[in-house]
Amino acid sequence: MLEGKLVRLRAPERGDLPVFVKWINDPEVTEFLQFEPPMSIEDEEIWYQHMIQSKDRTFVIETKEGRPIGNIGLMGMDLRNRKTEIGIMIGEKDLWSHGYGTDAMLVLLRYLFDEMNMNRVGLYADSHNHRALRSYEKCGFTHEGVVRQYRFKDGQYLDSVQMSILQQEWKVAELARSNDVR
Amino acid sequence: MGLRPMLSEDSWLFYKWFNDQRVLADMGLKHALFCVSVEEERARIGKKLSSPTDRDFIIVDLESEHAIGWAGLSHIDLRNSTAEVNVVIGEPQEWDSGKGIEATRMLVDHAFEVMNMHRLYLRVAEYNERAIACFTTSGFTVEGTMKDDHYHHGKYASSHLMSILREEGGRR
Repeated sequence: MLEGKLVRLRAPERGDLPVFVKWINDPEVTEFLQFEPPMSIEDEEIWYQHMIQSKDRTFVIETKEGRPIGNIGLMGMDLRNRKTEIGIMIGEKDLWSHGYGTDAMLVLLRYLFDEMNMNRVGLYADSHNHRALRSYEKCGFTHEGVVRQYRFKDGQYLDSVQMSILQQEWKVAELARSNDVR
Repeated sequence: MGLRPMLSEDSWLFYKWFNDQRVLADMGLKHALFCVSVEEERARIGKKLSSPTDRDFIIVDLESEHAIGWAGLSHIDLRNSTAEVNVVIGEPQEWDSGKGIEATRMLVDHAFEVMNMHRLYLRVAEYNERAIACFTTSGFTVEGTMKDDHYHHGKYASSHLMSILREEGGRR
């Protein structure tokens, strides 16, 4: 388990799948996310089977009391080029805007940069997903540009924002954070 | 203290120990050990149990009957009578109690006296002072250093190769 200030990350179990399905089928939760609902529990089992056999990893974000509140995942981890893409979802809506997502992101970034020696972590976010963009900026991500008409949702194409953080930038931000604590 | 053979149902112990960052931090792992699931641990333990090159034990406190760690041999090579030693005390409250030294002693005795091994070796991270002290007390000596062989806490770190031969470490 990876421990943060507010949350911990753990590996997903088969028994977690029903709650994942609940989140994915909530249109408010997936408003800005690249899912194609509706998803059945069988669809989710197929995804899980595929995930555990691939290099991609998904983690369950849970509170310190052990309540699962969302997912954070790595896609296309590339060890030669030392880069990966990251995606996050907080499925429990009552916990939005409380810093849980930011904390989960910092925990995973710390692991990726300080233990896995990644050089670049990138992500895509909907350009109008302001809550997410603010969280990513807080974590130290930089806007790289707009990816035009990146996805199709509700009858129209939407633009996305491409963001990334490099190891050097992470180290500087982490140093500033540890100085703040003192 | 005692050693008993590892069983399939011990996978939940490994789930607990190998998800504890206090335990993982000093192990100097070369591969990425992210959060591990119950299912993955069950598969890993099943594979080890059926492998002829692995022999694994659970370290048990005979008074409390609590399982406190893992002691095992891997890469068992019968032709050359060599094996790699692994000892992990998975319960941090048992650290610095001398139990790791006792478990190491039992594993080494078993390897030399029962399994007829000639040479036992292990890799230990340079910053894992507790483990280095345990293996040194148990009769292991440093043979060499593998410079910068893994990435740890934001920088490259080295590991030591330690070994014990039967004539050095057999029953005294």
